[in-house]
Amino acid sequence: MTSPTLTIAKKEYRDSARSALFITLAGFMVLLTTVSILVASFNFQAEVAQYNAALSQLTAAQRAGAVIPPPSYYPLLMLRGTIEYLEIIGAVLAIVLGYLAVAKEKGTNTSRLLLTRPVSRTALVGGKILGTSLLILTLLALLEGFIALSITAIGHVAFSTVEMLKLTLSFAYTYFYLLFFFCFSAALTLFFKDLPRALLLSFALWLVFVLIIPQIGDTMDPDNQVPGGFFASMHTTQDQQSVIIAQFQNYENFRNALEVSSIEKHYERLVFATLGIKGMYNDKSLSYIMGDKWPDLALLMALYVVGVGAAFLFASNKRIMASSP
Amino acid sequence: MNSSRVASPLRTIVAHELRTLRREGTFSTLLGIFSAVTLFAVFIGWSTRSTTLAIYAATVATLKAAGVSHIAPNPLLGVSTLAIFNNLIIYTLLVGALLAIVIGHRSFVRDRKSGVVPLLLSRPAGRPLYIAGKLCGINVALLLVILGMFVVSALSTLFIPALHLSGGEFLSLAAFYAVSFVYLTFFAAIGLLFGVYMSNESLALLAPVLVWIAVVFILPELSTGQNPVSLLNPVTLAHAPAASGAFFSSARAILSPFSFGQDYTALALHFLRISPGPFDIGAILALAAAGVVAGAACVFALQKYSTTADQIA
Repeated sequence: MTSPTLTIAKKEYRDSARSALFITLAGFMVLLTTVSILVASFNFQAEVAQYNAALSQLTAAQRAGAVIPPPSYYPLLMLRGTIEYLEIIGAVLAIVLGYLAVAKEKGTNTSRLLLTRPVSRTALVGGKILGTSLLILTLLALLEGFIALSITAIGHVAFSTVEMLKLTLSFAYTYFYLLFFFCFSAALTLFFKDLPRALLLSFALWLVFVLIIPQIGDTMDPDNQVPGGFFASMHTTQDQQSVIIAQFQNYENFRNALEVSSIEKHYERLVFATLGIKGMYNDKSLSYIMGDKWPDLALLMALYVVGVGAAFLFASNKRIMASSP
Repeated sequence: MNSSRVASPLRTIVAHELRTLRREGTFSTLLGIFSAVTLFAVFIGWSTRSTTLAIYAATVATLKAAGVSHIAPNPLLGVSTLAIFNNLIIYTLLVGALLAIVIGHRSFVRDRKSGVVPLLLSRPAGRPLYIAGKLCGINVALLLVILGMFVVSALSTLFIPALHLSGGEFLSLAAFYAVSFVYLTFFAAIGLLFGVYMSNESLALLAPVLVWIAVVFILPELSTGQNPVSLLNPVTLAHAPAASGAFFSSARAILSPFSFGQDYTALALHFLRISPGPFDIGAILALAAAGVVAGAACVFALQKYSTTADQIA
C-alpha cells in the first residue's frame, strides 16, 4: 500500500506538470537558456574575430614575434547568463509552484474532505514538497541535458567528466535555491487569507531579495563608479588598493552585509565558483572550491531548512481551510 | 451626442477609479513605497559618491607617500551630480513597472470579481469610454505618485551637504520623471489588458510579468550581449560598448522597435547626465507609442469581452 505522502506527491507532480502556468514558465526557462547560450557563443565568436583581426594586423606589420594571448574556450563560462536567469526567473517559477500548490487546495471542498481522512498535515505538506522537488529535479535534469547538448553542438567540444560533475553539482545547488522559494511562497499562501495578496507579497520579497539588494551592493562598489573601474583609472597596485579600502572598512562591511542578506548572492557565489565563472576559481579542483565556498553552501542549506520548516509551521487546519470570500 | 455628454461619464469613471484606489489604500501605499524608494536611492547615491570622493583623497595620499609624482585627476569630477539618482532608473525599471502592472491588473479584475462588469457595459457610455476612463484614472494616480517622487527628490537635495542642483539640472530631473511616467503607463496598460483578456486571475497577473521580464532582460540581452545582472547596473549600461558581430547587429535592427526597456534606460541615463549619448527623440516616441498601442489593445480586448463568460477563476 502506498503511503499518503507518496500519493499526495504523485498527485502534486502530475497536477503541477500539467498546469498552464508551469508549462508556460518552464518553456520560458528553456527559451532564456537558449538565448543566454546563443548570446554567450556570439560574444565568444566576436572575441575570436577580434583576436584574428589583431593577429592579421601584426602579421601584416611583420611583427610575427609579438605575442597576443588567444581567447580561451571554457564551455562552463558560457553559462553565466543561464545561471543568472535561474536566479531570477527560476525563483519566479518556484514561487508560482508554491502558490499553486496551496491555492488550489485552500478553502476548497477537496481540502475539507482530505482533512477528515486519516492524513496528517505532515503527510500533506511533505507530499507537496516531495512532489514539487521531483518536478523541479526533472526540470533541472532536462535543462542540464539541453545545456550539455547545445554547448557541445555549438562549441564542437564535449564536456569533460569534471565539467559535467561541476555542472551537476551546480544544478543540485539550484534545486535547494528553488525549493527555498517554493516553500517560502507556499508558507505565505498558507498564512494569508487573500490569495492574490500572498502571491503579490511573494513577488515583492523576490524583488527585494533577488533583484534590489544584490543590485545595491553592486552599485555601491566604489570601483564601479567610474567606467573601467575607479582604481584602474588611478593606476594603483593591488596592494595599494587593499590599504586604501581598509580605511573604509565600515562602508565595505555595510555593503557586504547588504549582499549577504540575500540568498541569491550566496547561491550565485557558490555556483559561479563551482563553474569557474568567477575567474579565480576557473580550472580549480572541486575540493579547493568547496574549501573556500562552504560558508555559502552552509547558508544556502540553512535557508532551505528554514523555508521547509516555515511551510510545515503554517500548515494548520484553520489556515488550509481559510480563503478569501 | 455633444461633447459634454461624452465627457461626463468619462469623468465619472476616472473619479471612481481614483476614489477606489484611495479607499483601498493603493494610492497611499504606492506613494509611500515610491517616496521611500526615492529617499533610499538618494541616500545610497549620496553615500556612495561621498565615500568614493574620500577614497580619492586617500588614494592621492597613498600615491604621494609612495613617491608617485603624476597623479590622475579625480575621475568623479566628470560625473554629473544628478548621478546620485542613478539607482532610481533601476527601481523604476523593476519596482515601478511591477507596481504599475498590479494597479492595471486589479483595476479590471476588481470589477469582474464584484460582478459589476455586465451592468457597467449595459450602460450607454460604451466600452471604449469605460476602458478609457479606467486608463485615465490609473494614469492620473501614477502621475500624482511620480510628482510625489519628484518633490521628494527635490527636497532631499536640500538636506544633502554640498549638493546644489542648478535650474538646468532641476529641469533634467523633471524630464527624467516625465519619461519614467511614460514608461509606467505602458505597464499599467499591459496589466489592464491581461486582466480583461484572461479568465484566470493568477495567469492574468503572471502574463504581464512575463512581458516585463522580456522587456527588461531578454530583448536588451539579445541586442547588447550583456548578461541579465549587468543590465541592472546604471554605470555598466551607460558605458558598455555595443556588442559587435552580425548576430547582435541584426538583433538590434529587428528588436529595436520593441525594446522599450532599453529606450527608457537610454533616456533616463541621458536626462540624469550619466550617459554621454545625445538625446534620442525616437526613443521617447517609441515609448509613448508602446503605451498608446497597449491602451488601444485594452479597448480591443474589451470590445471582444463576453459578459456571459464574466467569471474569473
